[in-house]
Amino acid sequence: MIRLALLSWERKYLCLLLVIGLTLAAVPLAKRVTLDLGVESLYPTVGLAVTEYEKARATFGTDEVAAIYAEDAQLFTPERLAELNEIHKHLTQLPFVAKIESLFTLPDLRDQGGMISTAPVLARLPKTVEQAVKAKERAVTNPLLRGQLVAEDGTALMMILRLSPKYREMKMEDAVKALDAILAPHQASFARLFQIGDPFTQSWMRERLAADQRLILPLALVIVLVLLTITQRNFWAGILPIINAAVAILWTAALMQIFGIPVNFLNSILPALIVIIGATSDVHFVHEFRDHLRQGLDGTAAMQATVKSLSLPMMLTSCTTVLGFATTALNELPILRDFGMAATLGMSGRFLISMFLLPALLRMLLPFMMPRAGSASANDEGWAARIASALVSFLLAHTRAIVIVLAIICAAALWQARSIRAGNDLQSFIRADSPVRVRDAAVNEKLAGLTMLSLTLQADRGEFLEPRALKQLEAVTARLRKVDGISAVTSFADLLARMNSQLRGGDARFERVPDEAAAVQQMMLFLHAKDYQAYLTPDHSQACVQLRCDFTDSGRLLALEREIRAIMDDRSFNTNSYTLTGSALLVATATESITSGQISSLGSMMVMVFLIVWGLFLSARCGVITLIVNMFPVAMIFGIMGIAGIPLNVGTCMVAAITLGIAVDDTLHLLVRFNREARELKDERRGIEVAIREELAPISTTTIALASGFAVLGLSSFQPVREFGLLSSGVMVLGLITDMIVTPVMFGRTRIVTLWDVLGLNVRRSLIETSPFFAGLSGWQARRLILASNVVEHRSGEVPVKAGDVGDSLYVVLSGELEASVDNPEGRLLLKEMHPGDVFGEMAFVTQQRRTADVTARTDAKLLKINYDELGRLRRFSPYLASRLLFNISRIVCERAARPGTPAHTIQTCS
Amino acid sequence: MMSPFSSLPWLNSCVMALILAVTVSAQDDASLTAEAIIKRYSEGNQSKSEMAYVKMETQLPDAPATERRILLAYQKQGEAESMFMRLLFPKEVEGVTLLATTSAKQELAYHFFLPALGKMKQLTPEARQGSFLGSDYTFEDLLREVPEWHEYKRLADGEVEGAACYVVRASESRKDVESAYAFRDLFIEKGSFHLRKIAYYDAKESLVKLLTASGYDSKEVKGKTTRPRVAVMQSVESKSKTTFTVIEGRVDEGIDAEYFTPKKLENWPLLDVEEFIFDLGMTVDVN
Repeated sequence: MIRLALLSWERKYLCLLLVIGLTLAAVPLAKRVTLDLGVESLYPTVGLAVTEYEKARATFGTDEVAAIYAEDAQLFTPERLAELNEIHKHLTQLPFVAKIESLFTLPDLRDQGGMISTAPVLARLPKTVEQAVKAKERAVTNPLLRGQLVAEDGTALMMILRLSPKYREMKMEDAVKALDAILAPHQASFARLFQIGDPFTQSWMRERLAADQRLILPLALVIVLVLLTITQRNFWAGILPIINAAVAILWTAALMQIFGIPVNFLNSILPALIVIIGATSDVHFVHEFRDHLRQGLDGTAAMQATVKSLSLPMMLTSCTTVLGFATTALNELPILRDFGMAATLGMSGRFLISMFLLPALLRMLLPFMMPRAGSASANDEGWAARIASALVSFLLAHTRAIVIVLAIICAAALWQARSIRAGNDLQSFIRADSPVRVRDAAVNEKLAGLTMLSLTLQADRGEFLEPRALKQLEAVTARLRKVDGISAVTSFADLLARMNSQLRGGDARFERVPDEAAAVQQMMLFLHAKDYQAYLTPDHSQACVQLRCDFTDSGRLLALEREIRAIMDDRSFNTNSYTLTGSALLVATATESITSGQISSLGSMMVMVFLIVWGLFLSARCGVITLIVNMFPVAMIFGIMGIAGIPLNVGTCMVAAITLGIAVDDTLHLLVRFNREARELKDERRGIEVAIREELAPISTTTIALASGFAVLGLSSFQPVREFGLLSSGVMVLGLITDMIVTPVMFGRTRIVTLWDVLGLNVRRSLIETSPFFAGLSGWQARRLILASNVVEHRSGEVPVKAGDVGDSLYVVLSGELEASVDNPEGRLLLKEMHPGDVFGEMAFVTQQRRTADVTARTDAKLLKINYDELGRLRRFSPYLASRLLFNISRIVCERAARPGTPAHTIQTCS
Repeated sequence: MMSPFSSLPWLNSCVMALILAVTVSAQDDASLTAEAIIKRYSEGNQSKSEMAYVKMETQLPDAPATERRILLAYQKQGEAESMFMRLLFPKEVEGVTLLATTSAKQELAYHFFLPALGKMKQLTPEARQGSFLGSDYTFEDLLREVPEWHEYKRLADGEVEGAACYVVRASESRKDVESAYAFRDLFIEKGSFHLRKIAYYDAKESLVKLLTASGYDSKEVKGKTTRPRVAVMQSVESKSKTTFTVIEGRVDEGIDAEYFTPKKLENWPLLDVEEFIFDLGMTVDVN
């Protein structure tokens, strides 16, 4: 990473040419990226439920439909019916319409003055008002049509268009336009005349996606530009992230095309996310670079220093952010998987660009990057210092109270989170005032709803021509009609009952399945298999009961599913086996995937954050604290969701993992800085103060940018995106607050040693082998001991141990030279010179006595400081190591006491 | 006036067309108009009466074939024509009868008899678009080609199984009659004027069904007029097909007119049916 950034700085034109070349190559690919707004993306692509659904769809017909809805108080008049006939004729000409189910096409078997008519209700257009009234009566008295294709009061009717495979090859907009063009000349004749269904919904969504892009992306760009220009006081500091984002967006689109990831309404927000989230890393980079320039370094030195200090935190924070998005890709829902994969590619590309393109751009714009005199005034720093000092003082003084308050808030939030319910249905993702929802509501008011479920009963081949099985089917159908929430139920039994009654002069007593097999077989002679394809398989082994509901809410659908299954499972109907399916049901069932996906993505993210922090600071405690700090805002958001009734959906289920990945970045920046300052200042409290003072500005800037950027998503046309944006924005703000409050509280009394500290220690094998303190310890145990201890550094002349102090610590010289001395009447008496491997302070460590001599560093020295409490901890967690250590200490004390000629006071002094 | 029944060519009555065939062969193929071709084809199918014992097999995808055995009879009296079909197999549908008549004014009437109901019922004329006995044929498909009801257009010649054919496009000319098809392309073999194929198209000019006829020289159909023994109708949408196979047929043997009445068909025991078949000199075993 360091090499990449420096290469970019050194070979700026080459790097720029490479990026431009790649970007130009990406353009044609990006243009070909496909769009997927289908309901299929909302349920898993594999699994038994999907297989059952696909099978039912293949067997009983596609549920991919469009529909024309006409409503008028005087609908059944010769004039209006003639217009509808005109519309129908034009519809039959459309290449993407495979079949139309309407009063013009569906057979209406009935006894008509002693003659049997199978003609559709409107096969012959009524020429007079009386004929029209008769046609209306025919339509509304046919149970197979009433409520499904015609309103019970005859004021509305629907033509259902089954779409042909050609529909998938064409643009949705073209299909919608073609249908609108047919309806347009007739609009004035009806109170309502419109299309609904897949093409209209998808076309509307596509239109809204484009509109959202036109609004959200520019707003995100403006926010970044304004915010960064103001905070960095440099226009170019605001422009650079936008250039980087533009390149990353194009690369991402091209990669999506290459990997076959379609655009859906979730990952359509990626450009805005790339702009906003990507800008945060650029802010740190540009800020650090200009800081080094401000300190007087030349461009190359400033870049080297920037890369050196930022490569690690940037790599780590990039990792956590990318991982946050990547965990979403673990979900089995295509919409979330596609989002996760696209975002992973996009964010990885974005951070790569930050490291590869940004140095080259900074070099080219170097003259504009030079900080103006007084750009970071002492006044600013004074304010920040005062705020940091006051904050840390307050927090450390009230640590216990703060922890209790936060714990109570967190517990309350989690309690509220219990009431969060999962939801997944396309309708609820669209605004209630959108034409899609408004039209659906109008249809639902007059006709059976458009949510279709199918219950398939399975039997042996030919069994559904037997009266016994047909009676069961009839009973199931009748029972389901009594279920609350189902607005229409039809089955093959209805078809036969209708025939049975009408062939017997319309006698209502025969509105039932015939009792004899012969009668059934004879009635079947009136039907071709395609006439009953929606209800019965050609081999008569499977019968489908078609159910329609006027709601899409996943919770209600799942409750309905449970009720239907309970009815089918109670054995009253003696059916062999059955399946209940439907795309709406699959989508509703996928709420389980959303819930489990939430748990798995958040869980994976927590594990990864823990591992990263643990790997960085080699401290499980550190990892846990980081998680607590960053999970607090997530818990709060869950609480808010519970209180506000915001469901866990495809948008909100991403909030926790993604924001955890982003929010932890600030914590990492803060911790790395705290660690550095605490080591340099040898004071953890002051270390926190300085860390907060130094990081307050960049963290606040990035938080404001992120929160604003996420908030912009609140303008989306899609509910999950709006909720995702607003909740994520909330997490960002809460994350800043907890970083500033909880982090100091948690880490104020925690010593942090990073892996890099240990590596930098350069503990020599010879030292470990020769020092009596490390005797018998393996290299790994010695390092473990060092990590469990405190590494302190002293400059030449400093006094780590003062005579008269109470001590409970023991020291091992890791590097440098020290001397022990006491004052006496003749002057200063040198007692002992100490070199790497030597130990001092062991007597006070064991006996808790006052120090009797001064120990002064003769050169810069590194000491391993271990106190009694830490030894106690070691005894609990590493008893072998602790016992070995105690043995070593005992031996050191004994050897010193037994050494010939060693005065007892020397031992005392050294203690 | 041509009779409208029996689109199935083996059912059509005909006058032997030897002289006409000779005349046609002498004519230049290219000079024949669509109307002339249809006229020749229709005239070649005329008969006064016909009788056939037929196997009707419907094959649907993913389902076993269903077989029906049917007795078909046709007669022409003046301008009026009648045709009935009696199902003889399987047992559940035995006795189901369909009677189609046309008056001298060309008014169509359909009657049917279901033993389960016990009496004859009449169907409204719109039933012509409905499925014929659950097969891939509709009643409309069974109507014989009536030139006066259609407009014809000759298309480029085609070929069916190696036989050169005239191709004529037919579309409904009567404004008050709804057809299930926008037009049909008829493939009529040159020379013999046998119908070899009909392609049915919808309003979008998409092929919806395909009829193929073969076996014109079979010995099972006895009579002066040649008939195809096998006719297969394939439905594009449902991917199903129905095959008519003549087990035995008689042309112009003469059938008593009383059989073509609803009353007779309503009360026609199987034994009488067997006797009826036997009287016509057919040897099939209806059981």
